[in-house]
Amino acid sequence: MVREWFVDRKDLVILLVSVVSSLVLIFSSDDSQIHFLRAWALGSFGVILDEVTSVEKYSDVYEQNVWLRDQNASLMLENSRLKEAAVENARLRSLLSFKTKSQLQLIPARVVGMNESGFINSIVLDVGKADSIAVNMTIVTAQGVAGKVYQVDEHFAIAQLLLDRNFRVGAMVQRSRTMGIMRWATGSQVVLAAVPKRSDVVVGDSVVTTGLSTIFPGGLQIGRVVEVNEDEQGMFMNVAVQPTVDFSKLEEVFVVKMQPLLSE
Amino acid sequence: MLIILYVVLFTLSIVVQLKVVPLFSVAGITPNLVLILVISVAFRAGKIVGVGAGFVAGVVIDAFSSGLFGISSLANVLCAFVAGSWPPEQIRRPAVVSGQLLSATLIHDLVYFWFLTIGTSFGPWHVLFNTVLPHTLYTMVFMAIAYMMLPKAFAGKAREYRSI
Repeated sequence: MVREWFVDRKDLVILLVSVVSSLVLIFSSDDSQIHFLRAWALGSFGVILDEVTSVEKYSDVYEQNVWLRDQNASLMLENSRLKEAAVENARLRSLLSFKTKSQLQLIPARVVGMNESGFINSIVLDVGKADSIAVNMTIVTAQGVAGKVYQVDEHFAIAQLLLDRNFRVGAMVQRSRTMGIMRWATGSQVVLAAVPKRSDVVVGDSVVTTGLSTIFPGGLQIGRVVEVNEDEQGMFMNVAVQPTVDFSKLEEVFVVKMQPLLSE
Repeated sequence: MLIILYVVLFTLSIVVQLKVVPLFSVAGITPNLVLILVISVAFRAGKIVGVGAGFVAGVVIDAFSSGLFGISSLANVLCAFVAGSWPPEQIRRPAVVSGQLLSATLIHDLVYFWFLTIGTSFGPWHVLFNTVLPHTLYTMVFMAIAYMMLPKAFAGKAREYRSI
């Protein structure tokens, strides 16, 4: 009797089982088994994505390009550090000494896949635990911060981009040292949130990472202020920022080899 | 044999979704090729096979995302069930096919983006008009191209044979 009922309604039973399984997956997204399942799928399909990407590249041009981008990124970081040093020097010249920043070590990585869905934006990288990549390591390009490592497999990693709804980074206006929290707003724009009213922020200001984070090194370029509005009733300013990284042209990125305090 | 064909097709669609589809991105809006295949499978093989295929494809797609795991599976499952629920004899009529494709795609996008916007400050109308409908319409454009190029993929042939 019960068996007949199930046979008659097997489409509904299968739908119910699938829906319940999906909901279980959704509500246990942070479980270690789900991370394992993610890593397994990433490793399995990452190989195929990597092969497809390999067909696309021309090895000589690619190697040269990687070297040039590596140099470019190193110069960008040095430039950022120098700008930071100049600002710090002016601000802290009365002090006798200050700590110099350590040289950041960069690991080049190719983007072998991109998952773009309006709210969730991530890329698949061809580096993993075997390349000393860990969760929460910073992803940069020559233009600035692109995101952070979200999930890592032996040879592949998923990076959460700056344009992901769940991405947050402590940021500040480089000129005035006004701090806030950088998060995605809409489209390709981000906002510097939690900036108190009447703070010293003007259009064109450069926004960098604060260095107070347990994940991101300080002084890395994020973007430029494109709009500043003061909400009449709120306590904070609305600071719209255009990221310096062009996320539509991400082909190679660099993972900053700095062990984050929040890594898994 | 059919299972192997589905595995190959879904593997290809997932690779194309992650490698090629981002090139067609317009203001962050991209078509969903995996969804088109899920609907096609539900049309041809019925809702049970469609639901199973949609679930597995969703798990793989979610593995490459930094969002909640299982959202794509849930959206695919509901979409496949709707797509496979129409009587096979109706599937040949273009107007019915269009309505069916639209409703299945819309259900997928409503479920998917509703979960993604939980906890955000985006209102339901903003999400509907700025995210759901653009994604649905863009996917429908690609689905129309697929339908014109491969009409048999949406013909519901296997279900017709089975119903005889």
